[in-house]
Amino acid sequence: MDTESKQSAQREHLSREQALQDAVEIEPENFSRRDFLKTASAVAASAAMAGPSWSALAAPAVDRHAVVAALGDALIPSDPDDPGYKDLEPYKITEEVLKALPGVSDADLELLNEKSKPRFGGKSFLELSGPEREQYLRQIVDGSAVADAKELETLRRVFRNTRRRVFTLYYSNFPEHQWPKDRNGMAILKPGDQHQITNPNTKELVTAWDQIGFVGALTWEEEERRRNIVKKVHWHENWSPLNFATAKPQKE
Amino acid sequence: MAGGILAARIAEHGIHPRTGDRLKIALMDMGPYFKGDPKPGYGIPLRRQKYVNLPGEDDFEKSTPWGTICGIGGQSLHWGAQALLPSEEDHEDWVAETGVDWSYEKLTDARFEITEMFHISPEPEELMPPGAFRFRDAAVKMGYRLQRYPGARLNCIRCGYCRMKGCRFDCKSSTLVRYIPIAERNGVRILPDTTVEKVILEKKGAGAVARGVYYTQGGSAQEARADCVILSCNSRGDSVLLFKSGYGPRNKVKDLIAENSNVGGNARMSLLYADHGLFDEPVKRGDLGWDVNFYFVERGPNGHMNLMVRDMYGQLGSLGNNPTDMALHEMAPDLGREHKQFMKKWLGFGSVELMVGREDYVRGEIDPTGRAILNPNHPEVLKRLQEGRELARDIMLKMGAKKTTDLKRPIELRVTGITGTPGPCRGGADRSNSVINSDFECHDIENLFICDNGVIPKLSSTENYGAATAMMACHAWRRIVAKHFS
Repeated sequence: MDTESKQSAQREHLSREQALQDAVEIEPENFSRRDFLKTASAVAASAAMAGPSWSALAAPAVDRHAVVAALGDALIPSDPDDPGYKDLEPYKITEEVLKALPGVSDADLELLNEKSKPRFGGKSFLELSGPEREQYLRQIVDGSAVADAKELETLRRVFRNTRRRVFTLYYSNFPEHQWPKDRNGMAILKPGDQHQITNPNTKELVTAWDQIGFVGALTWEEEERRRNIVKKVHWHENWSPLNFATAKPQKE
Repeated sequence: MAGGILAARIAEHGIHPRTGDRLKIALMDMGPYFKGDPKPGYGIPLRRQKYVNLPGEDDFEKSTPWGTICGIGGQSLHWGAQALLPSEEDHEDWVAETGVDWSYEKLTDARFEITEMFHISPEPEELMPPGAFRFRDAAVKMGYRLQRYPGARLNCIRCGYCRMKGCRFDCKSSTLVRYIPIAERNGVRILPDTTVEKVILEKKGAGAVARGVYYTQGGSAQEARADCVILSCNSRGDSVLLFKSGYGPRNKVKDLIAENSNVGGNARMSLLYADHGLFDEPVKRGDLGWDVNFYFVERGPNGHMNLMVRDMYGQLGSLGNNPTDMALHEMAPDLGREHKQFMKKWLGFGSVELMVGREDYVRGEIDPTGRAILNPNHPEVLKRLQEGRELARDIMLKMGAKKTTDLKRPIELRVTGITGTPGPCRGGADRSNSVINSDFECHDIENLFICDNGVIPKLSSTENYGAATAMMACHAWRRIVAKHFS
């Protein structure tokens, strides 16, 4: 983008910011109810700390959960018969993602949410359709989303870090991805388990390992199956390290 | 790795030279002891419960300050059981480099023992993944001579979790399941959760005499006096312990008792790199997995800068080879349905690994904290690896790969906590170039022996020091018993 166009875009951005500010200050009833409620809660919180003031009625804070959830859905979309990220929202996948999402501040997410507007008819990231979100994220990857290099760096960082966290969690088989251990690091076994089985995957929910065909730690049935295969090929039942004798070396 | 072998066999065969009595031996390790006679192919409840085998997670919580695993069995609990033993050329190199008397012939008994005890054998073809055969066929067509890569496993049910994980089924050979039962039956006192702080050294002339160790157990500092001390703490641990005890180079040892500039020096490392390929058809088996199947060596000029190329299509789930690694791989699409479809080719995603051997460019040292100070990114090494990458790519394309790792991606080799570093306590003819002699006796300290991967001068024909270290231990106990405890 050339300098003039860039300046024009900045002026437009500032004027829109100012317009938003004006709207907040003068015509709060023009907001949507959602915006109003968010603003109201922000004001209430601010008032509780420092007394009511017009400066507290700023643009609403980004909904961190919503933006990350939308990112997750774009990263791993859902289809009929092929679940994706949002199918795991009942299991609180976004909460889990948010527990360990370094280098992604609220301001960063707000930037990502806002920067789609110039190219997508004024729609924020949260307002975009699924295909539009994907397109926008690809623009971040290829560098065409924004002209400002610093903003692009931020957007890419948000994308990269969120992508890493979402893929790591999803493909570790969330929510069936962990096994509880006691304070000594020993697996806590299920009642009645005679075989110390520690595969967290179940048939109750379609998760990443089911989708890609990854077995994980062996179930008892799978162990037996494999033992039966290997026994036909190469096996030494009852082998003991005590069976191999070594000669005593001669004294020197 | 070596400590369990030494303790077991010396206890089994050694006697006190004056009294003829059985020896009293204590085996100390910083980590825990998962005790129990092995049931290869099945495992025992204790170890099955401990080794959870979740991808992306290590089964061992405790590690040394320099990043190796703690526990009775040492690094053998954690290795991938790849067990290509040193070649004749390796032995020739050792003799040539330091004058150590470890010829291929001299170590025949040791080699035979470890082959039997660790059950070192190649993967049966009936159990190999389809990618292994495609790799073999493609490489043969290119004129290479393929060999089958041996593993140290017994009754392995091919869970695919060998590398950097505990073996739930007692299949993966380790000193815990192959030698510690012998140690137990021969009266070795096994002391887990015990940290040796220092070797007790008494000055004697320019050298010293080892009299025992100071150790900490249960928070309490203690002392054990002994007629001899054997160190098997891994090249890094040995170096750190020796520095703390007063032995080593002047610039690394605070309270110097005996000086030897080779302690902690002459460190080498394996130079490994892997590239991936994506195939429409499975190259891995979803139902069985291990690690390596076939390999070949492309010799460099005058037999130096050799390139080993091997398929890794048996890997399933071990650290570095699990679904998350695939999801984040550089070949993976950025997002969306394209990425989902990519992930569904899990069985069609596999790697070829390269190793540069017999090089003289990468050498370093162990610092007083146990960190290995080496720069593996020598231009000649990178150049050779890049040639290997092109070769690997050609093979994978001939195998039918739809996509391979971008060759333009720069290579960056890293030294990690678990990078094996032979050399820092290497064997040699005299103290000017080494720390121990051919009988594993320390040149400068009486009654002190050292045996682990640090005693090996270098290793060129194989990337994995585990089997080589175990073999050295099998030689060491013979020498120590013959010379001192017969």
